[in-house]
Amino acid sequence: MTGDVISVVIADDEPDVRLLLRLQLETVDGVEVVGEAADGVEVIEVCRKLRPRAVVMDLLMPKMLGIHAIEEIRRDIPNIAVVAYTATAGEFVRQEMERLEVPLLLKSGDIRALVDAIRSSLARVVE
Amino acid sequence: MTPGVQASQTSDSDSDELERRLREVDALRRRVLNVIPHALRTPITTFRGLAEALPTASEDDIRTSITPALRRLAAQAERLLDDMLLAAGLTTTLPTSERVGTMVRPVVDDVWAEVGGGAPLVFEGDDDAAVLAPAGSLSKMLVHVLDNAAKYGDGTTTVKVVQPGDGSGSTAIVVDSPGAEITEIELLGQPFFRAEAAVMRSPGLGVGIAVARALAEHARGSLTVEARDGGGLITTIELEAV
Repeated sequence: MTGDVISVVIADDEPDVRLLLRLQLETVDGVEVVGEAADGVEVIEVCRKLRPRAVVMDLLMPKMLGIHAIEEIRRDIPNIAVVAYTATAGEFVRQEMERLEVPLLLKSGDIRALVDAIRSSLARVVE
Repeated sequence: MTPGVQASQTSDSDSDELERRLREVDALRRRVLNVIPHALRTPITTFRGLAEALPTASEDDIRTSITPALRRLAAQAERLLDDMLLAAGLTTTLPTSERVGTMVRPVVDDVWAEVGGGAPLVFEGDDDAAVLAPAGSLSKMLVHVLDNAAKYGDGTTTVKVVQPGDGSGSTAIVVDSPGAEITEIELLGQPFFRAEAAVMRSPGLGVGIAVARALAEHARGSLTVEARDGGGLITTIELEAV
């Protein structure tokens, strides 16, 4: 894989959401979906194994919340770009994402916003 | 007591009652606003996104992935709407058929295969036990109760079928699901209320228990919940035995 391609792991407990994100991201030049995970524990394992450059993370997932999974993954891969992708976000979630410097996107189906968030998060971690 | 004093006390009592009801309505409104956007956003945006992906998707993806997903999402949205109406007390979605004898064990097995996600479940009691409920109704009750057990439980869920032996002629289906400690037990079953332990685990409408209870009562039975010693929930559905 070349350094220009952004390898992405998708983490969401809804298989239909993972399907949609995969289909959408596959249409974007320079982005490659390399793995998927259905819960907070699996996403840590998948990231350890595949070492992606970015992860799109649902926050409410079984076994481990996305918030905790983000911190765990960053211990292993400090330069990984993370985008939180969630249906709703209250004050607690917004504050946590600010603390972790993770861009937060509400699920809207707008792939351009997601790709922009991945790229800006990536730019920040490689600075 | 003079008529004037009595009238004044009645007026105070009416005012207190009105205020109590307004507080209840406000609490319900807040609960609805908390859960509906979360529960609906994912199926709606996913549906739209998949529909938009159709023109560029391969024939194979359309046939094997997208079309089944669109069907699942439509069914999910339909179920959410039915549940909301039922939980809100709009009984148009209650079954209209007569009660029929329904064996419990096969329904438990089928529902757990659908919602259990591969987690362990133990069935205890008579494999041939049957209860009276409208066709498909026991399945709908158990979908909600067992879905809660699967989503919010930790460890093995146990379903016990018990004949109370109190001469009531009823059968109790007791779903014992270990999990996080539930401190708001008195609020469980109120439509659109979600326990704190549930909010942190999975999205949902907070109507499962209310819907299952409405279905149980419609089948001339009952549904009760109690906090489980050590954490988790015990849900008991009582229906007339066959």
